[in-house]
Amino acid sequence: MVAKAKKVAKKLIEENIYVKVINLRFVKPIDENKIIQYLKESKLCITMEDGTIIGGIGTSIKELIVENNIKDIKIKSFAYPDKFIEHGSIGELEKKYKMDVESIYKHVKNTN
Amino acid sequence: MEILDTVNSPKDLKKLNKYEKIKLAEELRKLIIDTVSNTGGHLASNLGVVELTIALHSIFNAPKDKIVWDVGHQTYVHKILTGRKERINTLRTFEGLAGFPKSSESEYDSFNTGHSSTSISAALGMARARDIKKEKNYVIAVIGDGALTGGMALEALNDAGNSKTNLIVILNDNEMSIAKNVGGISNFLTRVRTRKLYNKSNKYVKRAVLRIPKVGSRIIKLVRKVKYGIKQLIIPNMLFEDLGFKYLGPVDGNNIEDVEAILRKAKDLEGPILIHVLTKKGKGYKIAEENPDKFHSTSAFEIETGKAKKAKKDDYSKVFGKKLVELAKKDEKIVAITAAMRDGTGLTEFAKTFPDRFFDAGIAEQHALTMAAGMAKEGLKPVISIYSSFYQRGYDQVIHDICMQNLPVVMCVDRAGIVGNDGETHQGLLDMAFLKLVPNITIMAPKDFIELEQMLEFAVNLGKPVVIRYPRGRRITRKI
Repeated sequence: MVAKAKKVAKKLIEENIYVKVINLRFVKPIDENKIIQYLKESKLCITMEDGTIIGGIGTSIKELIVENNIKDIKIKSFAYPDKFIEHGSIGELEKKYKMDVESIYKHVKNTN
Repeated sequence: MEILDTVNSPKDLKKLNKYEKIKLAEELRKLIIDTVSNTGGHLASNLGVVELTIALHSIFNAPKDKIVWDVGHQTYVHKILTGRKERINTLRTFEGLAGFPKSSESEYDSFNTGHSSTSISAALGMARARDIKKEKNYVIAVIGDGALTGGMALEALNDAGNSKTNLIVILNDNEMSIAKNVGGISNFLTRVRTRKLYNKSNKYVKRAVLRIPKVGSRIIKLVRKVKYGIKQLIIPNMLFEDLGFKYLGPVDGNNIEDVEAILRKAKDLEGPILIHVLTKKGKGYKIAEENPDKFHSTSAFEIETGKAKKAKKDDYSKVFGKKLVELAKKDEKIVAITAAMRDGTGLTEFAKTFPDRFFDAGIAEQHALTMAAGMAKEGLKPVISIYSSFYQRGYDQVIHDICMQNLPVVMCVDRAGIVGNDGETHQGLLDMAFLKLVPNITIMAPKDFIELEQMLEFAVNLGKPVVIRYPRGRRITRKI
């Protein structure tokens, strides 16, 4: 996911959108202080994870935002939806579920 | 004209004579090899069950009769014979046929499977439902000897054997799970397999002693006595009979006539029945017969050589295995555990280097995890690698045995995230959510190979439960 995030970031930076990529090595415990600091400095937070949307890191970050009363930030989580995901090549499935670089890039661009 | 052209459903199969069925088996093998060489998939197991599948659909009346395929990756023949041959070229591809049984795909797929050892439980449930509804149909579970090493299959045998329910369990015995089977049940089955040999040598002994005048008959008596004793030892239908099953077999599962005969016999019997069928994994494709574990699940390959069409690159599993060997050389407390996935999890080199510190628990995630807990309790540093979707099977062991006692087990979650062609039963999408909420657990996810190595070194020295999750090696570089 970090590799993918970096690709998205590169495309955005080329369009003068400032992006920082955080590599969340620890899913648990997450580095709360660091993340809160970054959240306070940002307008938009994108979470990306190779897992289901429920109870993943996206959820953890949303909890941090609410519990720490962080204002003026939008958040969008990219993860697989709450359903059993069928078979297909990884590339095809990523595209279908908008987990590919292009889909994520487009979302950020349109939000900005 | 190919025989297969005339077979669009099991009904057509019933019209064929035995020679046509033998020809059909050949055609099916060719189609499967052609298909899997393009799409990738489970080859060896499907080649093994061609005759068994033909016999099943000849003798029983699916979909009224319910056939439950354990694991389900051996259903390509079944799919071809139940009206899906035109689409078999789409196997395992996006929007194509699934590589496993899917009720949504066909009414002939009576129960969805993907993970091992579930078929007897499902079949028993369906049989009991049939009885309550006062319906009349057969329910058949087809389970491999590898799947029988999974505890759930034994739980189901125990329950089914104790019931009077009409249920047929077909033990498809090929001496393999993905790799060579391990453990007592496997040894037990090996002894059953020797039954035929025993019969032959028995005749030979009788003939030999009859040639000795006078003493001959006494020796025969003695031999009979010995034979009775030996019989208890080496004709051990006893395990299944003691569990309450009527045992039939063993029968050559690659001989359609023989299998059909035994299935007919089973139809006339009451109660739970176990038919022991011997098949050869990879049958009919020499390269797969010789390397059944390599062709258990394969990517697309060249038929002539058996070589993969795309060269394999390094992946997380290999990097994990290599690093673990390096760490284990410096730390003799490190042991490695797999649940029948030695090669898939990258532990082959470890097993060779440290045979005494490597443990293959069989297809038995629950047992493997709690065994790791026991080792950790006594001061070892167990490292266990299981695929994400199979951790689902050992959840309470993670909670109750490892984390509640805060034991230092390193739990590697291989094939985490989307896995692709194996589909919904194998996607590793839930592990983060269900592991995260367990107290005492630390969870890490490396971004590249170097980070995995660092995390592994950190994990074996952390002194408490720790998870490292990583995907199938795809588009990953050593360093991002």
